[in-house]
Amino acid sequence: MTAEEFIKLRDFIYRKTGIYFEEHKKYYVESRIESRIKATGHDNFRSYFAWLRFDVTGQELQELINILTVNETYFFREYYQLKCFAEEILPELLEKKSKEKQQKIRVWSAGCSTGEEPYTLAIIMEEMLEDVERVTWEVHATDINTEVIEKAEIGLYSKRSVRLVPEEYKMRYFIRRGEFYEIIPELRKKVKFYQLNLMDAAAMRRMMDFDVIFCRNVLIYFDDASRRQVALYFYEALTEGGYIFLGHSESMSRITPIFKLRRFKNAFVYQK
Amino acid sequence: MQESHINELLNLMKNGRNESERVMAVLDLGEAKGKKVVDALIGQLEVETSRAVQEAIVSSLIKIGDRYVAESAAELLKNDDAYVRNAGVEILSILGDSALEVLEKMIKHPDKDVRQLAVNALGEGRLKEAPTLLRKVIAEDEDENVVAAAIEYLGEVGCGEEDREVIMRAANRFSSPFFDYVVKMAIKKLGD
Repeated sequence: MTAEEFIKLRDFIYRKTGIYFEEHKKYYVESRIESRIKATGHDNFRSYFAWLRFDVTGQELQELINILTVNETYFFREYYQLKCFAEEILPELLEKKSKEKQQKIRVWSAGCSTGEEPYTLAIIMEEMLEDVERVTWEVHATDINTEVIEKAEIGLYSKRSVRLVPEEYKMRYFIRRGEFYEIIPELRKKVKFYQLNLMDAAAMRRMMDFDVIFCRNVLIYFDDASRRQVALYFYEALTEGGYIFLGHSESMSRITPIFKLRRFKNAFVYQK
Repeated sequence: MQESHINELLNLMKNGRNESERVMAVLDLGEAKGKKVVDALIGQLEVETSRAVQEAIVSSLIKIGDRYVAESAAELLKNDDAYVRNAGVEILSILGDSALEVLEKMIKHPDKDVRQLAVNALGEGRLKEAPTLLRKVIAEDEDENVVAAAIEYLGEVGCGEEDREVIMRAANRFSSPFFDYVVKMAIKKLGD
């Protein structure tokens, strides 16, 4: 891939997704592009790019974004966002709930995969709200893929998955099973896992009154039109003033202007 | 969708009890077809004060996505409100083939601002005919900004000698630091 081809591709991806690849990522992009060129039966970058650019289904762009953003999931991923949730958003929510004389905080992990994110959120809720009287919490965790939901419900994780979990929490919320770590039943029961397609209008309408939604690195897999639709469903699922966290390379402003961008000490978060 | 249900949704879109009810009614209208629904959505988009309802309207118009939507969206390019104009661009860029004829017409529009928006829709979209139409704009349009926008997109979607020649010919017609820069970048992207 020539430098010009890299720039052409990079600018296109940036315009479509907001994901920007610096020059030093050229090798990374190149190796993944080559696999897509091969997989789609093209001979060179030029013919592949023309095909990608005019693919009306948008499927190839999704495929490409998938391999360019592929990331394993693990506990306490993107720690600064979780810190913001725990130390800045939760206190604000508690104050709001107290004013409104409400007692429940509802959090949704949308696109929860094998459960690392919702269990992380559950640990945070447990830790932060332990001594707060009369406040209860719920973590809902959904994914379109029933296989990952099943794995999440089992709650068994590798050493690698829990590498960022503080030792203290590992002791409190996991049971060591040889090379693996199992979520304790008390915590497992507190997370409600179920299958959900974010594009299913009827199902999305049932999702309501959430104070915070985590939808990190999920919307990048949707096309432009679907992304907006899902963002609207999230908007409706949130309480007034509710928050939504996206992945660090994602931007809600590129999807829809309906959310406000709130700047906290630890992170930027979108608010209804 | 039954006529009575459509009427109910149209009523909810305008007079729903709250924003949420109106957004949901609009999203449901995306499942309907027909000029009546499209006209109502377009009309509401232009006067609507809730951004969430406007966004839902754009979403539903894209979902309906027929030629009549394209024709109606083209009219939005002339709107005074920048949000509405950009919504028109977005709808046209996503619609694909349904928007082709409309875009062919809009790149010849007497208003240069409308032509520029049409070029944006062409460039952002995935129409196979886009390079041909962009070349036409570059060769024929008399406005520097419209031509520059078309050159930027052709730098991305074009390839080969023909595109380089069209761009270089335009470089002889306009000369400003901005235009020279756009030409330089496009030529660079087109490569050898």
